[in-house]
Amino acid sequence: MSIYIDDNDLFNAFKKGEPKASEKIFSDHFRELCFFAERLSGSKETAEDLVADSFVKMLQRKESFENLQNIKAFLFVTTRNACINSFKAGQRHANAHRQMHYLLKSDAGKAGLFEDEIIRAEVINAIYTEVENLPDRAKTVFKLIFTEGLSNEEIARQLGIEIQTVRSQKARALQLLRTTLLKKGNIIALIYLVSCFSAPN
Amino acid sequence: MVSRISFLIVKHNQSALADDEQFELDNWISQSEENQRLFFELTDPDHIKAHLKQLQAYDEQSVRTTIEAQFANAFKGETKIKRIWFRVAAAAAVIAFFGSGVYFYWSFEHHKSLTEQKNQLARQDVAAPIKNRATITLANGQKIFLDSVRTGTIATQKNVRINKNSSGAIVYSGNTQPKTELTYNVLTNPRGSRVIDITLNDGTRVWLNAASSLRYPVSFLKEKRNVEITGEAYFEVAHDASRPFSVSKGYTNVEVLGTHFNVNAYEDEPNIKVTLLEGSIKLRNENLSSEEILKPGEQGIVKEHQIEIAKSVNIEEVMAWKNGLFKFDHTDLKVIMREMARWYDVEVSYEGNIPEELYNGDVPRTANASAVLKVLQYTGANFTIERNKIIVRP
Repeated sequence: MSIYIDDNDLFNAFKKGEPKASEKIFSDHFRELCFFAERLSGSKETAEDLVADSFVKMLQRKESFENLQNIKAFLFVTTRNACINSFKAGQRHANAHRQMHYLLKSDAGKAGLFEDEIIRAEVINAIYTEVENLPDRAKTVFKLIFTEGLSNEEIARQLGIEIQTVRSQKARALQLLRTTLLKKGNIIALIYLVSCFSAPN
Repeated sequence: MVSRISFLIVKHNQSALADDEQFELDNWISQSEENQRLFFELTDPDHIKAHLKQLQAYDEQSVRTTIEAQFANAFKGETKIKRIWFRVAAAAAVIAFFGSGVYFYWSFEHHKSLTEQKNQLARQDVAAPIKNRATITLANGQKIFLDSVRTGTIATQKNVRINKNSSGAIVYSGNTQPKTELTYNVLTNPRGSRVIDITLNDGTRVWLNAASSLRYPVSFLKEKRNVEITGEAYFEVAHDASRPFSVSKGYTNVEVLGTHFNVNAYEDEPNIKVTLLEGSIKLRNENLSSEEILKPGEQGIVKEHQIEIAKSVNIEEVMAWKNGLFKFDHTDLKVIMREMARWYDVEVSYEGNIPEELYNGDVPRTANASAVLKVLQYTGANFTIERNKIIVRP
């Protein structure tokens, strides 16, 4: 799937100017950054624009980074600062007022670092990536169950496949993902997820 | 990951924490109520579901396009193209155009007071291209710089003569139909260059915009006529019922018998747009098995997995480039700036949150960059020109 062995390999390729490397860095991180930016700014459009700006700024000073970790940190910090600035400059979005209270409150508690937002973005993105790495069929079925909440019949209809296929793809996804969403000893989560997967047909 | 805690929580969800890591995570959780709440949230399926939905909604292509609009080689790697920048000629042009009172007509969606930027714009202004800088690359790799050859025959390929006439147009003549291999030439029109007019061996006439190229056979085959383009071109295809003419760009294919149409296929525009003026064309997306037939006045918009038809488009707006105009009709600022970047051969960068306004206006392409920007300033964005870069600010 990935043509880079590890972060170092990817970073070196990026430094050398390989287009696939900058492509990979972008696709690996732009969603978590947009999520982070939307939580800070309250707007999806603003988030996408600010994240694009952060990438551009990063590309403009690519020589200054020493490793991939630097790049990630830069992207988050730049995005965070851009959110705070565009906010201070006065936004026209309806969410701005609500966001202001949120930012000011967190600001006091975490000295404006928003580490909790970074944690939220990174953890969700890790789960998202895990789902995205499922084999095609299993991924489609899993997403339709988990995020759309469709029943087996609805899925079979939508995809034009047999209900039995839906069930076996469900099982496959569940097997591949079992260790990531379930917690040892958390019976409530286990029951919930099992019930998702055995919804009445 | 940037945060150590993210790493620990992810490992926790995978039941893969080492003892000391578990200890570290427990410590963090017990530090505050907020940490506890955050930990619960990130291990709770309902919250995860909602967050995953949000994550999925982001538009990767749109963000990528925005990045590429500001940083041209972002995902394309670095190819250093040698540019010959005629500074002396450009300086002379600035004086001439400033003095001659250029006519504009415009209307605007919002009227705001102008900030005093006229002086700054004038000092570092960029003139419109005054000549054509196109080249033809022959089959053997030899490059002909069209503005530096004299009128008359500029080359001969097999039995075909390539001629440059007094108005700078290129004409291929000598109608031989090869039975074996095709010889290809490539006409390349760089950024910051005027429109080039070429007539191919079958009589088809093509106008090529700046930052565009056309790859075509010196002599067409007996059964069909195929060419490839990048960028933007307008075609007047010579009618020949025995040989259909087709234009391709990647997975987009336009097939015609004889007709007039425009293809806009710039890499940095979101979709390929084919607009039919006269005749009839068949538009095909090689990723699909279906084709669409266009009628005059219609525009086919080719996306990766579909073709949309716009029933009536503003033909004047589509053809403005060929008629020496910038014409905007409810156009987005970024689209305008991309067109300017190709014509004036400048880079455009955006700083801050640019107001999302739509623009209407007609400006002759012979105007200096500053003249065009002055018109755009009415809608609230601020522009400065620095060397060969236009900076857009709110």
